[in-house]
Amino acid sequence: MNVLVISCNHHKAGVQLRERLAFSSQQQLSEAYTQWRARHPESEIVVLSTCNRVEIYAADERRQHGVSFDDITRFISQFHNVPPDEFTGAVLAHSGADAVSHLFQVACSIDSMVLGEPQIVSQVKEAYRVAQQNSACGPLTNVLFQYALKVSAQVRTETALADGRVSIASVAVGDFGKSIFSRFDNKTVLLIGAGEMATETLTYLQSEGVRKIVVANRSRERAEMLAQTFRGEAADFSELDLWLAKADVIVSTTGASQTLITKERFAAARHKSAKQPVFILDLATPRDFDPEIARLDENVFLYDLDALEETCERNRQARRSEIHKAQEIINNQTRTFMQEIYHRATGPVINRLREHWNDISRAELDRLFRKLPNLDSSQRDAIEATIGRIVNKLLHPPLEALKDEARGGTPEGLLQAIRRLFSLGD
Amino acid sequence: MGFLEKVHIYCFLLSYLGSLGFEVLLLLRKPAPFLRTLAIAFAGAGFLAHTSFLLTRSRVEDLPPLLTSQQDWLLVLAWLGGLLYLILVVFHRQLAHGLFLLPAVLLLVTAALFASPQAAGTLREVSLRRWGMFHAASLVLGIAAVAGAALSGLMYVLHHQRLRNRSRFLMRLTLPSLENLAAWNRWMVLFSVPCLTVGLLTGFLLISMSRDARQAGIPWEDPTIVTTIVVWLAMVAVLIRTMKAAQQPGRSVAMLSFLSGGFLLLTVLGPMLLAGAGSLNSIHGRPADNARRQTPSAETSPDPASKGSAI
Repeated sequence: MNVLVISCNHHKAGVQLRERLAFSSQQQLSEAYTQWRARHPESEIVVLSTCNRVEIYAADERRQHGVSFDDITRFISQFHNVPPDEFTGAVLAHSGADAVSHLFQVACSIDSMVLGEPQIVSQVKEAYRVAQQNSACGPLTNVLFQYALKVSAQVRTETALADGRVSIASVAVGDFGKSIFSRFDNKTVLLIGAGEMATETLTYLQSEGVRKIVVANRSRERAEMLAQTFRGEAADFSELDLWLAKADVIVSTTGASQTLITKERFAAARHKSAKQPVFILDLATPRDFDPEIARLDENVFLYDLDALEETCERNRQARRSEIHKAQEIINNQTRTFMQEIYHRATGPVINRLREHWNDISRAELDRLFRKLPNLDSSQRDAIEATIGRIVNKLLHPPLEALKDEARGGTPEGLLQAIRRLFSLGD
Repeated sequence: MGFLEKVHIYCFLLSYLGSLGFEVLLLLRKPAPFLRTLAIAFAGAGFLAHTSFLLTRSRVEDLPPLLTSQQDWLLVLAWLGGLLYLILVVFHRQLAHGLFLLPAVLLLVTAALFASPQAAGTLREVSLRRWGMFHAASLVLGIAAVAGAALSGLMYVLHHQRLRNRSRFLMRLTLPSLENLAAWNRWMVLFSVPCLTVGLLTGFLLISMSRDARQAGIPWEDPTIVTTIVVWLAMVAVLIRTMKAAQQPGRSVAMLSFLSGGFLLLTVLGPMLLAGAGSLNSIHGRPADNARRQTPSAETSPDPASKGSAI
């Protein structure tokens, strides 16, 4: 009985390699599961493929001739048509308790690029669901993945690993935007420029209910394209001052080499507005907004990248301080899980031993009762109970020894010895 | 449930204090859900004891809680604060409302310890009870709204400071959005003015209807009447400023309502306490009698001599 994992993740492998080894569509995954089952029908497998990791978890209940790292490597190589020597140096391989602990770490997002990020839990869930759908799971992987999700929930409940936001866009909208405004569906968002971070921020804003988005860019074509993506409207760059006065949220991310909005320019625009609170996210480097604008009036809330990054870093540090607590939970749960698995491994031998001895005692009792036909039922019951107690007392020492041994791993040596000593066969 | 009738003011004072302690711990330590649960449990226990105390007092005095005495009047205000805290904390567990509401509740309960526990004699006249209830309820709601405006103003100012200066300590304070705080502030100010107006008018009406007070005329020197009129005037001024302000008034209006509300509450509480201690003469209560202040169960039927002697 063994659990193996081969992991190609962001720690050791670059994005190019991860892309080559990724199982990017449901169809590709189904095909992979079909091929695997054809090659290794007795083993179980779950493929976890995200943008940061491609991992294959395999498990086999057979003691000998079970699935190996070579089998997984060969399978990946042949499925993706990538020679093994192009990726074996950039993948991690774990077996047994290490593989289990690795899955728990992944599910708890300790192994994630963004520590504590919540998406990985649903990705692990989805990977397990798809594996089940493709009949690739078995008793071992079922227990393993259900346990991993349980550990993940425990870590999230008992630690602050997932507390606080850690990406610029999420901090901007979640920590600052939502502290200023209670709702966004009645707010006007002005996007100046079309940088990547602005797109991410707009996605967050839209998920908060923003309806009116105006995109102003030097290139009208680019502005229209972005406006179409977010169901907003494009504005001429010459109308910028008009929108500066109207907007409740301003996200700026141009590539301008100088300050785009000076204090005087913004003051003039502000003069025409109702001086309602305005939330400005200056995500450009160098900055698009003069920092002095923040002092114009009490309802101007201006944040640049440094301010947002400072909050991100503070949240990251808070999360890092929780790793130790999370790791402790993972270690304890890995130990418990492995003990359960090892006990499962000893189960069949224990059952066979018990059945074997019960059969012998039953046969001897039948012989005795045939020789002593005058025994009444109470005498028979007393004899049966005595024999039963003797069998249990004799079984006790080997079973206890097996239990003790199973705490440290599958007690293969002892199982072998019991099989031979009591003629239990394989 | 007999034990609930033996509740002392200190029981719920300490419960609210415990709840505030857990809220402070939550601010100083890393987020720990069990601390918030403990804060709710303590506040809930305090609120239960508080309710029981008021009901018992009301039954013993045979008057609604609002009319029983200045002490109970303050306790009803505190009760409203406790209720508001429990409602808010149940619906928004992550927000630090308790750090603002619980000190106000504690202040009111502590003030109640020093306020007069004796009923105003006028309100024992059955014909005046309805008007008395209306008068007291309007004033309690008005003062509660002033307190609400002051607290939401304070929260706004702190939250504003947090967002503008990103103070490391204030960043740990999880508060409602500025937009929400401004809206609450505005509604509280809007609500307080009509309540105080009705409270004042019914107060004058009560005096004119009371046999004893009618002879003496309106006691303009009564500290409670004077301060309530000052509060009313100030809140009208804040209301005008709020209405004139932009869509979302901003820090200056919040600061104004916090300072005016906070200061005015103190000027209302001050005379009440002084009247309770016997330093000031007020128609709203007589000096506190230590023997009668202990527990509701210790307070038997009202002293016949007090009836009509002070309105």
